[in-house]
Amino acid sequence: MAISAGGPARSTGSMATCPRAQPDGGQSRALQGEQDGQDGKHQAARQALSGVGGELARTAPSAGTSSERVAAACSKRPAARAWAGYRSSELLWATRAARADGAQKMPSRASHALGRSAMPRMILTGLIRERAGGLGAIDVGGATAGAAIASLEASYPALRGWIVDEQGVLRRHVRLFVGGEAVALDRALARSEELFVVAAISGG
Amino acid sequence: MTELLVGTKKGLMVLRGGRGGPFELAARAFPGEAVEFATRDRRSGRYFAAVTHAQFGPHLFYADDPRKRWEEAEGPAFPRAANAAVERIWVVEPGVGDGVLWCGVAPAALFRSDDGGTSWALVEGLWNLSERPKWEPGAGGLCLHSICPWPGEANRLGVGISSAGVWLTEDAGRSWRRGVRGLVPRYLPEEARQDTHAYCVHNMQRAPRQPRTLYMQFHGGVYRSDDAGESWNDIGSDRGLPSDFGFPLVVDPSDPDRAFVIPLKADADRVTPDGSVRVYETRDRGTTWTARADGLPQSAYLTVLRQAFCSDGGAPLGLYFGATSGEVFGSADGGRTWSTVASRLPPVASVRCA
Repeated sequence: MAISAGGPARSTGSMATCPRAQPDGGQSRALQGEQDGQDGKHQAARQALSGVGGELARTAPSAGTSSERVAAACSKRPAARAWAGYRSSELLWATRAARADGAQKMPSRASHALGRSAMPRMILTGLIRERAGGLGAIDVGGATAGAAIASLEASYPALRGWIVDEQGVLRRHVRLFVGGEAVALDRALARSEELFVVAAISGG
Repeated sequence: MTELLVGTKKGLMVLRGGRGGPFELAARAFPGEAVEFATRDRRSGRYFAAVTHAQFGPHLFYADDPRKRWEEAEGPAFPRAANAAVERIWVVEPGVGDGVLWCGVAPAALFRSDDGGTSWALVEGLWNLSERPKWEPGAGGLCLHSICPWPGEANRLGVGISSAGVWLTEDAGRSWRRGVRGLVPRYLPEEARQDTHAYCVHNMQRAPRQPRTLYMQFHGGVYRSDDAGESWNDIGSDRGLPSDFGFPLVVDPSDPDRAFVIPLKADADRVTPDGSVRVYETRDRGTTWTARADGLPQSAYLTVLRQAFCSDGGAPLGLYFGATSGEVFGSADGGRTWSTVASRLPPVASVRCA
C-alpha cells in the first residue's frame, strides 16, 4: 500500500475547531452503544475511542492574510518537518491555496500554527476533507487518536463511518500519522499534536 | 425515454435513450468510486446508489435527481451489539407499504427503511438466527443479494444469501425459516450435502403476477419454486442451456412462465460459453430454454455479474445487461434482437431501469 504523497502537503488549506454542539461534550455515536461486543478488534477500537469527552472546542482566532506567514507557519510544524521531502511542495500549495481560498481559511490556519489553541488538531485531506466542509485542519477534543476521530464525527456527522467503521475500527486503507509516524487508534494525543488522516492509494 | 442506471467500477453512469434507439450518457456520479448497485424506487422517484469507496468503505446515497446532489443515507450500519460492520451493499429493493424498502448487505444481513430510504435499521430476526455461525461465504463474500417482496403482502418476504440459501419470513422479518428443499449443492461431496448449510444462491427473483413462483440461478443449477420458495425444481439440466452456472436472472413481471438467464461456462471459467454471448429465454417455466443472440457479439468472452441484468417491465419487454468488459446491451423486443447501448465503460457491476 502506498501513502498519498499529497496528504500532509495539502492539509493546510483551511481550518476550524469543532463546534460546541453536543451537550455531552462531543461524544460520538461510536461511544453510545448498548454494550460491548466480543470481537477483540472492535473492543480495542472502543477503548481507544473512550478518551473523548469533556474537552470543548473553541473558535479559531483570526489572523492576517499573507501567504508568507502561511508558508512560515507550515515550515514550523513538527509534522511538516517530518515530511521534509514534501515541504517545498507544501509551501507552494499553501501559497496557491491562500490565493484560491481567499482571506478566511488560510490565515486562520496560519494563526493556529503560530499560536494555536491547546487542543489536538486533525489534518484532513481529499474526500475526508470535502466531507468536513472543505476544512483541512480542525481542532478536536480527545485524549487518543480514536477519541479525536469520535469528536470529529460528533461535530461533522457526514464523516461518520468514513474514517472508522460503525464499530469504531479504522478503515483498512486509512492510515493515521502523528509526527510523521503511523499510529493506531489508541495512540495518546498531546494537546499540541497534529493527527493526519491519510488515505492509501489503493484500488484498480 | 428509457433511463438506465449503470453501476461501474468508476462511478454511476446514467444512460438515457429511446427504446431500441441510441443511448447517451446523461450523467456520471461518484467519479472514481465503485458503484456496485444503483436503482430507483418508482413509487417515490428516489434514486439509490451503493458506493464502496476504496479507502472509506461502503455507503448508501440517495437523490431525487441523479445529476444533482446525492445525500448519504443513515445506514445501513450495524448496531453496536451486532459487533459487525457493513462490507458491501448488494441490493436495495422497494418493499410493500409507504416508504418501506429493504437493503441486503455483506456480511449477510437485511436492513429495513420505513422512511423511503433515508434511514435504515437492521432486521434483527435474521441477524440473530441460531444457524448463522454455520454460514460460510462464497467467493463474493457472505452476501444477501436477492430480496423478493410479496406484492400486496407486506409481511411476506424471501431473501437469497450466498452461500446460506433461501430464507423466508411471513412476519416482516421477526422469524425465518429456510427454503432449500430440492437444491443440490453439487460443489460438495455427495455425502456432505445432507446436513450442509452451504447453499450458494446466486440470484433469486419472484414472479410478481404469481408470487408463489420464484426462479433461481444457483451455483450450478437453475431452479423454479412453485410453493413460494419452500422447495425447488431443477429447470437447468438437459433443457437447452449450455451451462447451468451463472449469476444474472430476470423474470418477466407480466408473465410468470417467462424468465431469462445468461449462463457462464463454469465456476472455474466465468465467461460466456464458447465465446458466444447468448441470453436464454424460457416461456414455459423452464421446461425449455431458447438462445437469444441476434445482435449480441460472438467471439466474445464476457462476464456478466449478478446485478447486471434487468428488465424495464414494458410491453414488449425491454431487457438490458452489462459486462465487466464495459459494454451494455439492450433489447426492446423481449430479447429477440439486441443492440449495443454503451461501450468502453468501466467494468459494469449493475444495470437497472430507472
